[in-house]
Amino acid sequence: MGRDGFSGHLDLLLLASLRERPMHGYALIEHVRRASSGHFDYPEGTIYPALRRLEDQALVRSRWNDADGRKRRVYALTSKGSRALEGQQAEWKRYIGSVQAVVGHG
Amino acid sequence: MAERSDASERYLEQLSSLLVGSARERRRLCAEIRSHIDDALDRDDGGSGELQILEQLGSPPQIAQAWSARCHSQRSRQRRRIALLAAAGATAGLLAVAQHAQGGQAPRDCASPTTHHSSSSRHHTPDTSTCATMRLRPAQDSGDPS
Repeated sequence: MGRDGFSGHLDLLLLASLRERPMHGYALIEHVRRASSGHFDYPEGTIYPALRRLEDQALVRSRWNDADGRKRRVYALTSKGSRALEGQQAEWKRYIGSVQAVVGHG
Repeated sequence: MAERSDASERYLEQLSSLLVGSARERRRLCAEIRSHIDDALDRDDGGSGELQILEQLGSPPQIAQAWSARCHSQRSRQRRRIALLAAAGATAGLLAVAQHAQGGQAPRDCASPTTHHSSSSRHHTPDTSTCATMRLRPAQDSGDPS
């Protein structure tokens, strides 16, 4: 999927990934790449401002973690983030259902 | 643990120079990007190299643009919050003025319940309102086992 397709659903992808477990940025990017079979093509560095935006909205929280002699910022989903994820998932299902209804009959 | 080269340092310097916002926030983002580069170098099994890692990160202007968008949305949220607080303050002020204009009195003072006057009588009567009953009971009624 191209950049536009990815960025349009970036929040949903990040929140859904963090539902699995808390992750730092690099692990999060790896997770999205693996789960999508390398389908998403995007500048990886732009994930960090996106995570910060989600943190501004209290949908995720973060803290520095020292592991293997390296400091990494680890992000976790908040309860508000879980609720937002549920809403975005429902919206996404409605959206793909509508597209499928049109495209599937083509 | 793989070492960063000058290319990464130049990349980080350029990124830092393009970022807006407080120094603390800019430092944090650069530290995260630096950590990302180190992780990617460690996992660079295919030997794709540092330059490709930097390319996958996106150019510094691309990241700076995403960062600016985040800062802009944060400022918008703050402005909305301030506007909401100002509106709430103005509403409270208007209500107070309206109450005053209607001849309303300030809420009764809980500490002096006997100042209440009924329209039919000027006698001081014990106030049995909620305010009065909230006063502390004497020590012997407090149920304190001591």
